[in-house]
Amino acid sequence: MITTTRTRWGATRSGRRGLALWAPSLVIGLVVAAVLGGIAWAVNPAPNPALLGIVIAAASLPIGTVLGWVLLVDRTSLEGAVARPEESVESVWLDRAMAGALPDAMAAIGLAAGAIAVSGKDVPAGAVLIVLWFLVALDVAARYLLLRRQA
Amino acid sequence: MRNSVAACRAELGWSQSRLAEALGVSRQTVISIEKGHFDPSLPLAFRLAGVFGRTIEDLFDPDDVPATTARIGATARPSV
Repeated sequence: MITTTRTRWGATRSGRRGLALWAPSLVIGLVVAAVLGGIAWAVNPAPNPALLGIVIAAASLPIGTVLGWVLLVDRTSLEGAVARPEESVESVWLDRAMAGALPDAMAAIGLAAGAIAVSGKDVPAGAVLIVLWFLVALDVAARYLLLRRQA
Repeated sequence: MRNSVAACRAELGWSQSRLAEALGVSRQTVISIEKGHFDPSLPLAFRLAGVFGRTIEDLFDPDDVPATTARIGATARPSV
């Protein structure tokens, strides 16, 4: 169903807004938070797994709620949403930025793996993955902004 | 690729935002097309042509296409 009034937070496909959109989104968020918190509680060998589970659940709740909103909202009801984003120039910029970041990421991972192997140091995998994630995200963002500036 | 999108839009008296809405793309897309910085996809080029009531060839002028183009079927056919 195509709604006529566009707003910042949009409406469901049946045209309902506000609480009717956010309440089920919150339910989805609570389910996501409960699942992730429960997994952390069950499998993490931390000294206080219950506290860890609560922290993970609390951190997951807003992300899960937004995920629920993304699943439920009708994008044609959103202010500023174009009908064919895949044909817009922003989509091409993002594709190019991500394509350009891939060889950068491969080079960075290769260099990091080589440095770890040569130095023989024991580096925590979690920290390395987080750093790599941020570097790749930064690379994509920088490339996207550069393409936008050139346009 | 050179194009006459800006001129055609001006003839209609449309803003870039109105054209973007008619095409279903962002205003930045229209800006980039008019500047010649972005070559639209074929479906988008057809929609542009449809909005202005012209052909794609009227709107877009590729720089690197030779003046004389080979006709399909003009090359030697295999003997039967």
